[in-house]
Amino acid sequence: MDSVLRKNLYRIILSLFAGLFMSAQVHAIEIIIDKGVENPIPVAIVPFGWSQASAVAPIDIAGIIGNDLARSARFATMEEKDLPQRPSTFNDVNFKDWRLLGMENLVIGQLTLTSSGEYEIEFRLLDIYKGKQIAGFRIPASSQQLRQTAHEISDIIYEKLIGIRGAFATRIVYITVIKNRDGSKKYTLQIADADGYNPQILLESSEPLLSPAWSPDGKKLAYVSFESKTSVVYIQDILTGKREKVASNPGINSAPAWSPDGSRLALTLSKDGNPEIYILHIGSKLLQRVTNNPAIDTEPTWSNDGKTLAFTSDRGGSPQIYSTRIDTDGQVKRISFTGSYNAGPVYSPDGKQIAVVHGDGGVYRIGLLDPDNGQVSLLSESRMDESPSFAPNGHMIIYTTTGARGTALAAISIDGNVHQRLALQEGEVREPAWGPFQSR
Amino acid sequence: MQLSWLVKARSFSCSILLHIVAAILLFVSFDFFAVPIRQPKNNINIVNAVSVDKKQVEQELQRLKNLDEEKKQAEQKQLAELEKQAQELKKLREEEEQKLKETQKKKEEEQKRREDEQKKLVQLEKEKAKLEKQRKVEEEKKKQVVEERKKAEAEKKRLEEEKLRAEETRKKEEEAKRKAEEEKKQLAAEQALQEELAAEKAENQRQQDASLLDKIAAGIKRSVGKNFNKTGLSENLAATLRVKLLPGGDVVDVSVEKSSGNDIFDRRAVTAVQKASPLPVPDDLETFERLNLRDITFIFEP
Repeated sequence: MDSVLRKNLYRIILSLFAGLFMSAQVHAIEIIIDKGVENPIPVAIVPFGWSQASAVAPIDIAGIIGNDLARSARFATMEEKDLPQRPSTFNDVNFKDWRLLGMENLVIGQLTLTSSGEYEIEFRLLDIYKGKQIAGFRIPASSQQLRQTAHEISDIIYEKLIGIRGAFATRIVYITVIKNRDGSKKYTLQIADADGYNPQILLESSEPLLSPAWSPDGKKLAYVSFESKTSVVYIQDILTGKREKVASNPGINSAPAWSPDGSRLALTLSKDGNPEIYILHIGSKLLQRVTNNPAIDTEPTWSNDGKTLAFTSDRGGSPQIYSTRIDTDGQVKRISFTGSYNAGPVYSPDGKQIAVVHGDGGVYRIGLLDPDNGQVSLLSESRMDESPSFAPNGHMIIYTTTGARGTALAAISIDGNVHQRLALQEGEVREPAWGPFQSR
Repeated sequence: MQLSWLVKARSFSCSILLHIVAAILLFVSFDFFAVPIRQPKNNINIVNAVSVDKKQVEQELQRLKNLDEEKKQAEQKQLAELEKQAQELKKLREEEEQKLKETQKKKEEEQKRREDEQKKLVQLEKEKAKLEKQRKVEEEKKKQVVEERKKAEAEKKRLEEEKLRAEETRKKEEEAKRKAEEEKKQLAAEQALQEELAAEKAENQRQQDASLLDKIAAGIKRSVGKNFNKTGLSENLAATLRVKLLPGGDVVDVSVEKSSGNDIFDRRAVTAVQKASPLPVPDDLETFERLNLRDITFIFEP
């Protein structure tokens, strides 16, 4: 009896443990995924359907979107020849086929010519593994707006798959230098879509044009022109072409940078002897001196809160990045401590990083400076990369790269994964500046 | 009236009697008074004495005349005497009558008494009957009571018997139950032993399974992690996914049990699991089921 009892007790305890184990096991298998990969996101963009079967479509929307996404370095687009099918409606999609290829996202759509002669672009972004639509829009567009609309679709896809607004439907500005046969040079100020298409000349000059800068609202540009043999800073309205001289002091007038609120321009002026940083209050034309140092202080850039200016100075012997709070005592501190050469600073849109040209042993690359610890991490990999400028979403940097074939525009994602040359312009391209988001 | 008739009858009979007595005395010189009561009996012999001599008869008649005289005298005397006697008798009779009366009265009284008694008796009888009846009723009652008591006792007895039987049944049942329990206990003990053995075996199996499970989980983790694309995702997000597998590792269902709050993160996690399908699980179905691999929870917290 006693032994039976003991056995029973033992059994109960055992079964308790077993029960615990079992109940734990029922929902037990719990796997923690604490690692992942940073890979481009697979996306396939099927050529859009076109309502006029007899005619050629006015635009390859899928091609534009594919280029946008690929250029961002965050997507791996499927080549057209690898597409297992070419559906243009949801019901035509065979998700299984796409899954077999490991494809995760699919973009399909249809371009329609409406009776009024306008166009309508319908597109759907599909989650292949869920077999569901993530987003779908129908956007009307004129023939002039088709390309821009395609970029807007890229922006939507980017936002739906990455979580941050895409910056494809934006524009860039840059300077080109063309050598004439007689040896003279032609300088142009050009504006183009962010992918380099649709370039438009805003200004031509036989004398150098330098340092174009966007106003925060994207309507104006500031730049430096030597058309009158000396440097003058202009502000020009993009749409009307109307411009205004805002700095034409004796000596150097250069490196304009708009404050985030658009009310001020930071400039480099040498009117007082050597190049110093000033702030021009655009409305009042008042100048506020920021630096006062016998060394060269130039290339100012505004932090996103408009309270700090970073700039290049050789006051330490070689060019390095310094910063100063403009709302306090104007104390200047060095913020770059990696390498012998850091110049051309540009604050990221979130104010957390500064893109710089990092020189080391005659090699100049685009790097990201952490203003808090002075460390620079390199992004680009060429030998002569200059003039970085952030996309408004901060995910990409456009810059110039100089190689055997000359100087061209290139874009790189801030994680450094992919850099890509943009459409090659005629001649040499300099000082690109990425414009702000445009209102949809 | 009645009395006078009675007196006359008596005197008549007395005279006859006296004649008879005289006759007898004539034929038999017996003392008259010697056997007065027996005379009537000897009268029968008188008939036999008819053939007697006449002289003698004369003599006799003379003598008888004398005697008659004498007798008349005597009778006179006797009459007187009788008168006297009658007187006395009358008196006596009266007395007797009185007495009779009294007796009558007494008799009547007696009668009455008797009647009373009779009545009483009847009454008594009645009462007796009544009593008897009552007694009978009572007896009946008693009998009934007895009957009832008997009945009750019988019932009681029956009940007791029943109770006894029930008790017996109960005891039997208890016994059966006890036996069953005993058997059950024994069985349980045996089972416990079996289970103990099984538990030991299971424990061994469990330990083996635990390490096997670790291996499998590590494989799945690698496989899913390889497909979990963090590109562009913000930090500090976490999501929990519930994943249903088929034997062979094919993912048949992925549901977000706890969202990260970020659609894209959730979607990437779901895609990671689905892209990793089939997950690396043992081919052996029995092991697959034992390790409960049909249901897996993934926590994505890169």
